[in-house]
Amino acid sequence: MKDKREFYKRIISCVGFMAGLIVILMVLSFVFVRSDGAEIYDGVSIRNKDHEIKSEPDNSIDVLFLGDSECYSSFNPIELLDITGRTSYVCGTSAQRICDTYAILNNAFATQSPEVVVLETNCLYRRTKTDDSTNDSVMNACIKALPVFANHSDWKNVAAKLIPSYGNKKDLENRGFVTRYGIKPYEGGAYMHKTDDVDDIDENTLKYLSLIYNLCEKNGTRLLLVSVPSPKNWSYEKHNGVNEWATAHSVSYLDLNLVADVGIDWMTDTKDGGDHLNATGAGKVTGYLGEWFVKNL
Amino acid sequence: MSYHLLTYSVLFLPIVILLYQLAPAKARWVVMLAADYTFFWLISGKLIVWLLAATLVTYVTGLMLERFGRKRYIVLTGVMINLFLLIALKYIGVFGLSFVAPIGISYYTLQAIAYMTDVYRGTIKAERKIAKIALYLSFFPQIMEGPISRFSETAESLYAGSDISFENLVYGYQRIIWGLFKKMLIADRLAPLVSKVFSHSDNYDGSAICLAMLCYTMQLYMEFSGCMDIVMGSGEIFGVKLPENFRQPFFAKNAGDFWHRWHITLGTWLKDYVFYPISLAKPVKKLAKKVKLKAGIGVSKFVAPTIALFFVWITNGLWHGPKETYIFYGMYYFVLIFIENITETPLKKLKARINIKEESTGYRIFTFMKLFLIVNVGELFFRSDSVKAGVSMIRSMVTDFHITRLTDITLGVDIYDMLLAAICIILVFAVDVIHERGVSIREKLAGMRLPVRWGVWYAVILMIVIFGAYGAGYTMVDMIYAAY
Repeated sequence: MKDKREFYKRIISCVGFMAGLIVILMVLSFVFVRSDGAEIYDGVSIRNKDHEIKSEPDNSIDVLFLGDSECYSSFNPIELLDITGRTSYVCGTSAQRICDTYAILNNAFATQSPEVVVLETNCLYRRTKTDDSTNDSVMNACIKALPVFANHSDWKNVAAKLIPSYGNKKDLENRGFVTRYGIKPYEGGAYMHKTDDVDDIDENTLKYLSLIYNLCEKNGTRLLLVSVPSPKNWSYEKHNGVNEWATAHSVSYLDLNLVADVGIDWMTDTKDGGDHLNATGAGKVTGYLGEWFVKNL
Repeated sequence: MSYHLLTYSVLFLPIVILLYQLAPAKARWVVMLAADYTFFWLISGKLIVWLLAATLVTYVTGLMLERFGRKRYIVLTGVMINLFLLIALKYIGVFGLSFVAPIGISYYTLQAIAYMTDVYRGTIKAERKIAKIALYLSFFPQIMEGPISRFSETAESLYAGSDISFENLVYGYQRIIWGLFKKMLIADRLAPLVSKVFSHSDNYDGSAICLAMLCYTMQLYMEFSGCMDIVMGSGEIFGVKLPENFRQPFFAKNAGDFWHRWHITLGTWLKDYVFYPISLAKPVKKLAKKVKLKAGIGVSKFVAPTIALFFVWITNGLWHGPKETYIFYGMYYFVLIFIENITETPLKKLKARINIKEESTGYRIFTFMKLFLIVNVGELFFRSDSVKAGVSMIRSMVTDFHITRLTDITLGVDIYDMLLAAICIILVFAVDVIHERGVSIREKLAGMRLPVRWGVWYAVILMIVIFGAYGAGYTMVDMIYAAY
């Protein structure tokens, strides 16, 4: 009898603990829910770029660059100003997801009216879903079911109010461009082999690409897709995928991996064996783009 | 499937617990073995055939030793077959071919060798029930990262089919939660910074490399010890007391003591199956005698231990993999421990002469800092792509150290993640200090009132949920020691 009472007591204790935990998680989910339902991958980067753009005088930026590390390694706003007289700002962030690109651009349009938005296309082939970003099916289910799991990193928004931190000084001086002087040659030879195969852009990316396109249209801004030279990241199949979308939407697309005039020398212009350009390579890309702006805008 | 996934602790483990408890006591070993092989199938698929082969070889070798007497050629054959499987599957890539090694092969092979050797030595009797051998080699909580246990430690409890007690269930899950805390709040949070700097170390100055070195040591400790907490907790649930693999390693007095506190079961395995056999081998003893005649006992007493130590550390290095940095790592500790051994007595005399008290705070801080430096440098080489890269990184730290540059570079981890990691590391070390004093926090908590007990565990779980490095903005990190 005593054993049975003890047994039931323990069952109730376990069930009680689990029930209490679930209740706490559900209550916290109300705290962590996002009012706009926004899909955000890296809230810190979005906040940093928002701060940087809002630090600029209103309507002072002519060209906005968006994308991942290919973007912030390849477009030099200081050099672009010299060539074209156009001001610009690089809003590229490390491993930027397209949902974050949209969020950054949306924030930027609050205070800026750029003439052109340049989207570096490497980010179009980065996985975008935020709810199955783990290989843990139970965790993924928790992320789908409860906002406290999905948006748990919003604690950084609170931390940012206590300890503001907005990127590093040197990059801010260069208007978001990250200067790299190292050289590590790429010696793998030709990498853009002509083919009819297409590397499809995933559905969620296409959704955000359309949102970006519509946002630019709404704000009277020209959208320009650019693929910077990168043997490690780019291919003809990806070129075909982007070209297909660009053609369908009448959006200009420059694939600099196919433009010999850019003059990239893979023995001297890459800092990491063909993944990213260094300062010299960025100078050539910026120079080419600048001339394109002069001729086409 | 992996221990740090919620799929393991919230789905797989509860299902196994339920089926195990519902089964009649005599059939529980079947449920356990089925769980073991299911888990192995989930992590390595068809490669389970190698585990089964190792089980059969180990079982048969034990029986043959019993049947035909403890003959050396029988145990050597069994050991060689298991070693051959390990070397062929794990190291064959070095020679241009490629095989895929099952996860855990490095661990269960050592356990198999331990069993066969213990039967040969007469320490244990050969096991007639193959199920016990199978359970011992494949126990799912320890298959991926150890600890490396002995047959006498776990076989009986694995087979016994004892009831799962409420206390074991609660204590076990508490330890699992603590393990997840270390892995998800600290180890996985530091991983991107470590990966970024170590893979492109020539892009960074000495201060960034130093930070990455410190972060890697913490990542490795938190992940490995965290996974051990999950493993030990899982074993505890079933009443299986697995041997501890960590005992507050950063409180060690020197490099030798460190290895009595870090990856303890690998160290004791190497001591029992490499160090002692070599130091007691006739050729080694003969050599020591010759040295004694020529150079005196003061020198000869180091001969056998030094030779044995060399083989221990070469084995330690090679066990991790066929990479020059692992061998360098082994030799690094060999040299350090050798120096500690030969300087132990002279240093003791010196300390007595100049009146240095080892219990004084100053000396303890000095010892801690010295050990911390030794461990971090060792782990830097362990993690580097090559010894040359490691040397280059050390050189950078000495000649190109500019701490102010840390604010100018992107390290893959923002300041909020770094601060949180630092706070959690302090918390873990506070717990380690309490454990070092012999206090069991779980038992202390168990004696407190319900609101306090539940409050503490709710707080830990919520910290994992809110501050864990998972989901959007983070990358899941595989377990480091499962790769060995």
